[in-house]
Amino acid sequence: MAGMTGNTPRNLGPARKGGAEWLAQRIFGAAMVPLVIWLLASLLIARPDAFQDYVLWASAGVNALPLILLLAVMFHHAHHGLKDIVRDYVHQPFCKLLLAALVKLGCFGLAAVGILAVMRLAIWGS
Amino acid sequence: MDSGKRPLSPHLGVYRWQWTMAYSILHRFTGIALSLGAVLLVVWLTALAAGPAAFATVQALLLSPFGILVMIGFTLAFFYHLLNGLRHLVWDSGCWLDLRGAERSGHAAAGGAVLLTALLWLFIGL
Repeated sequence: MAGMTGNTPRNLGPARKGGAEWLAQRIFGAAMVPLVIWLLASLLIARPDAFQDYVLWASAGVNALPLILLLAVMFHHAHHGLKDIVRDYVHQPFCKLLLAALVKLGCFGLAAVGILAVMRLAIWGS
Repeated sequence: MDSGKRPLSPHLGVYRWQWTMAYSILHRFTGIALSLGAVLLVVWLTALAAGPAAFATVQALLLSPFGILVMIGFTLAFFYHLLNGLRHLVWDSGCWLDLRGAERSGHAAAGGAVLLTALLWLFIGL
């Protein structure tokens, strides 16, 4: 968060340092496209109905792996987006820091909880 | 440190209303909404991993009339954010940056989102 800490000579933003983050945002955003299309298509094709159908679907390796990838990429992407919104519209420094921290910890925590659920299903599910 | 004098993002109130502005706000708004949808996905996966009783509770909530309404809202937000995200990637390549291209692609993203949402729920309903 170079723009927030003001570590550039004139405190005018992350001069020459924003490129990597800009590119990462695009890469993770673009990666979301095949992952969400897979999720939608996979569920529409499998058409699970009962609890056991869903467990079978989620615990199959061909589904568990992209599910874990989806959770990791999705929360990284959400973190990028929410961080930018906090940066742009929350001006009070303490609120900005607090919200940025909550967004980061929330995204990491939720990704971990989601991945744990899929791993439990993949290892013990069926 | 004169962090108070740093240039801020443009505030919403200083502009005349425009289509491109509305689509930009909608992209961020749907992004925030979909972050909540991501939380719901984690809750759903955790319930699935926890067992039939927990899963039945979550499914009953999701399949209630209010739950279906929320899910339709999420699919509409999802398709808009997906199509408008692709529009952003096209912009990054340097295309559609003129006023006409920006407006038309925005209309296409919004119209496409309504169309895809309708098609998906018709398909689910069949």
